[in-house]
Amino acid sequence: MQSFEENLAKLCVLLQEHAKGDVVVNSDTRLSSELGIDSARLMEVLLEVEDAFDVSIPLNVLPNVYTVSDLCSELQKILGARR
Amino acid sequence: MSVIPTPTEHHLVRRYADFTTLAEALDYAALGHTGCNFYAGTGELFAVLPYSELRDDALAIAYRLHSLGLKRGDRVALVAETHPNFQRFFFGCQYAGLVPVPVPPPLQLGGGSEYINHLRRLLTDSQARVCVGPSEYGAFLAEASEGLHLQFIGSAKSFSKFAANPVKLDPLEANELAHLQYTSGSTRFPRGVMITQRAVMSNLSCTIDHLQMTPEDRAVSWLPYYHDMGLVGLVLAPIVSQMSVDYLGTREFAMRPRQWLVRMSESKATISFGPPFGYELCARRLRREDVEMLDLSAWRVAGVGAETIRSEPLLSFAEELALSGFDKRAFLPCYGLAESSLAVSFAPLNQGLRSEWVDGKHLSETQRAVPIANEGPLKLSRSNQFVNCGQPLPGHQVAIRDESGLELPERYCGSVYVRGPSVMSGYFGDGGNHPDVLSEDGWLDTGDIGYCAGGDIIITGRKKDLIIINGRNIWPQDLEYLAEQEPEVRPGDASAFSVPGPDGHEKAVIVIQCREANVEKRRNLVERIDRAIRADLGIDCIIDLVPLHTLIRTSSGKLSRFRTREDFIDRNDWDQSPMLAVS
Repeated sequence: MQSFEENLAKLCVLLQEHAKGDVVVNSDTRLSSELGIDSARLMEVLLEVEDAFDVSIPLNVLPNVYTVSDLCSELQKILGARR
Repeated sequence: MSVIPTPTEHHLVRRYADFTTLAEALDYAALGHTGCNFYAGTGELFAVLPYSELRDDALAIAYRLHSLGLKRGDRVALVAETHPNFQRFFFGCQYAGLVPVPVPPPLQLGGGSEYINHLRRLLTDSQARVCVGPSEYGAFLAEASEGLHLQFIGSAKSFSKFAANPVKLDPLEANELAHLQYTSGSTRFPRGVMITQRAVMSNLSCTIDHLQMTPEDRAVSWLPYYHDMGLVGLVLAPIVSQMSVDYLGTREFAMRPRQWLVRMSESKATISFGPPFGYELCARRLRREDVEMLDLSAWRVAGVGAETIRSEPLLSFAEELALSGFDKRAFLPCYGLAESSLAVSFAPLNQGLRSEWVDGKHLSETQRAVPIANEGPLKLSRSNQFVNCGQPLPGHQVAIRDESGLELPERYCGSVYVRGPSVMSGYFGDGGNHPDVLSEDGWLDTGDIGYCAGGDIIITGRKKDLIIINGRNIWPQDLEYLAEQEPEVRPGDASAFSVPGPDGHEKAVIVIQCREANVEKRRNLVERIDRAIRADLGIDCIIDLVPLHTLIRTSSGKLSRFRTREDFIDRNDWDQSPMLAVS
């Protein structure tokens, strides 16, 4: 399994492609408010995240996912549970 | 629980909404084999709930609710996830003589804390005595209800620990409430629409008649259960007509909109509804190979409503899916609002979108909708296209009135009023008395602007301040509140509204009076407000900082969003378009 840092880096690259304006995506970037995209678009981006990591993110965890780092932790949990 | 979906057809003779109460409707539906089916975003069927089982489960819940010592008519808040527990508890309340209040689940990514505040306001306003929601949200529910002295708060599973009290059940009667509907209110100033059993049944009966339902019908829905179209249209209508329905969660739909079409295709479903936004989202994410794989030839009613309907995106949806057998005549524009249970009018069946072009100059200057030919290269720049929403439901009246309340003749634009058996009894609690919305003689001011042509209703805009983005109601008060949380913004310094964006969609705008002259500090303020709005509401919003005394007030000193909006349009030379046509 990839380490948290490796997955975080991969996630940042993916999200950076979708970010609007001059935001530089890092682990503390807040997904809903700092990427500059609306909630409908954000769901599309999440789907890409699922595809990129080949996981299915349980949607009920989303209310507690604020930052890129939170999202990465959730991915890590799912990937870890799979081993 | 079985893993085979409920059948479309069964032996039971269909009865179409000729019941007195929702409990009676479920009693009848339980005699057959139809029911609800729940699909995950991956397309897998995860739960099946035949109406017969739903009735058994609801009765068991009703007996348990009786052990809580609640009074008849007490409110039970239900976190409305697309899950069988919602229907179980909704009908448990019906049998127990309690009023269900569907409340939204947390939807926003990272929206936990805002959600807690929102839920708390709903629980307070509805004076809920019980709140049931999925266990994953247990912490949110607990925090939201702290100090509110609820009798029970928790998951369906923890509720099941209560002993059943074997009383004689006395279900809600025709003149009692069927549910309390909170879709139309702002998140900070909620208004619970009181809908009686009689009102909702009357609306359902008219709707089902209009759709000319048959025993071969089957529905698919991804609409949220806490929204009037999702609840009344796609949870209750199937039950009162004993129709099977396949559900896909709203968030699952937002992530994988094509699943809607996959479900329609695989179930050979005939009926589905959605806001225009839903169809657009689907079309945008469609792949070439989907079109060849899907069979949408059974889809005979593709209802469209809940926000301003523009025909172009819908027609391109139809065009792209023509090869899948989608027939554009299936589009069924409708007009309605929670305050009238759900529907006010439907366009005629099997005719698709009927729209007309009107002269924009006439419309804005004389309020008269003069039809014009507007095809091909002669397209006028000052013309507006409106979709015809058909005749009012039988037994319902629609009137168009001017500002003084005088009824206007055909083709004159004014406020749309509705009267009839589907109209609400009023707003619950604090919002109780609103003679400006619902008059003593039963006329409901819808807050929408439109005109009548040949008895058909055509909606052109909105008088109420409501902003609708992606099918979601956003109230300007909520945007203004968020801005006012910043130390630089004083109460009364912000005014929000919407303008038509370049793509025809509504775009939210907030104009803020700002004392700060420093460019860097102004930019920082805009950033903070932008983040707050995104975090709380998940929408894009234009933030316009203006000098003091720019916001326009009415003679009584209140901020006039309408005039501030006109001023914004003038200052920015914003293109005038249909939504702005009338006051």
